Amino acid sequence: MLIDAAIASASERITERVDDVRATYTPGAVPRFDDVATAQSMSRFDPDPLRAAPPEGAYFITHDGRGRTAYTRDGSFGVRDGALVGEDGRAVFGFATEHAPLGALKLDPVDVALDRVHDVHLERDGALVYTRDAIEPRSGTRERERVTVGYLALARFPAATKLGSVDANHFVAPPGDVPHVGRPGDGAFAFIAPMRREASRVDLDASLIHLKDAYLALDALHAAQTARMGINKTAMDLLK
Amino acid sequence: MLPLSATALVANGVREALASVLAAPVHLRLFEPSIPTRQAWEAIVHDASLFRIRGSRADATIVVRAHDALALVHAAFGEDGESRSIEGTRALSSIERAVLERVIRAFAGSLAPVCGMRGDAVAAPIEAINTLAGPTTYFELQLDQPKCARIGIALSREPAIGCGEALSVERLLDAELELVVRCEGPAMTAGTLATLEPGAFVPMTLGTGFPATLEAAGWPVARGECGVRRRSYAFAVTTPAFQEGSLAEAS
Repeated sequence: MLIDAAIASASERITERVDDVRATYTPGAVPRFDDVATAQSMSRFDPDPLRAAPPEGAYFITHDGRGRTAYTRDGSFGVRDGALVGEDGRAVFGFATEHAPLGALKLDPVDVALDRVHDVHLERDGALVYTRDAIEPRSGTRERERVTVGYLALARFPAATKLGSVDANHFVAPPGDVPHVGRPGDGAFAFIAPMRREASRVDLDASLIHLKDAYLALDALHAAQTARMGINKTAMDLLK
Repeated sequence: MLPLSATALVANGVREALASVLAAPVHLRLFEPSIPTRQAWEAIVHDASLFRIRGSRADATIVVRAHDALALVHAAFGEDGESRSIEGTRALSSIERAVLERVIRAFAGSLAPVCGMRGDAVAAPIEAINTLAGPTTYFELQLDQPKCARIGIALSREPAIGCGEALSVERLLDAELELVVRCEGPAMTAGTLATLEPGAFVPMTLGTGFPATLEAAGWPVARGECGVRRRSYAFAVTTPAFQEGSLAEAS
């Protein structure tokens, strides 16, 4: 049985609208359709010191597990095996030093192995920082020193760039599009907001309304097809 | 566990040696000794150069990671510039390797407090090795100036706590001690005591002589009597301290 192209398209539209509805509570999610996007991004307080909300229009940089650079507004980070990772366990990229190339942010492996790492947190300029105890050998006094692992990288695309979706809150750049990459607070990007988590940009009410509209469109197409098939059958009967 | 004081001694020695060989002020701190797990040892020696120093009590291995080695060499050459990054460190050239070994040899003698070798930095023999065999304790020195670099030190075993050679009694015989004679005076009423003023006399005559105790550094050493002998005040020993129990009974 052949499926009408219009009905297939309408079914696909429903699937996409369902995806948007599902992403309503996914942190940092961006809707497929602009008509269900909230007017501006929102973030909520989160006591985890490795959470951060990016500035408006900016993305954190990670990868999609297939070698492609991916972008996300979900700043739900953690440290796994000494590296800063996103909630999906994939490395989050940044700059180890001012002149270092973009790469994964890794804590000193010996500090991690010897359990010297304390108070890992993100700061508003994107710095991934931890503290460790050291001793001044002459006086014997203990000092808690601050260690900067590196700085989170941010990416921004030209306005109206349509990013490809990896999942609800991870995206890839369209072929040929190169984002501007920098650091929070470097003049090109605003500061990030530590201990805040980006909410989904999907408006629940709007997404449900448009999902309902998509179902209605599919029903209408079904009805039209049924009517057309009825007319065709009648015509064939008359011919016979 | 390796005493912190011993590692501090090593750190101070390394600082002085590095300041001398690098011809620059050195700021150095110490990370507390620990006994790493097997996984931690793997992280410690990963990408690191190892130099063993055989000591009389234990072997010490100096662990220098690749980027720290580069930083030490840069410091030795008096170079500026960034050499510290977790990844992407290049290998040392043969000249740089020789310089690194010379820097390490310069401070190797400072490890004497933990591995027991002679404190002769020039003569301290070091050998480059590939693997660590059965280390126990590990501590690190963090160099902040003139370059950021870390120097790890692994010990093959904990230093044994031993007693040094004791001082013989003969060597103490010439020591001078200040003596105090504590006299046992007569009884006095509190009212009379309260009226004492400059110029007053307290009679010290007793019916049974003038008993006193001779003390050295607060310890009673003899018991006897005070008096005058050949026109000088003197203390006549009646009971020396070595007569067991006699002083205790007297007091």
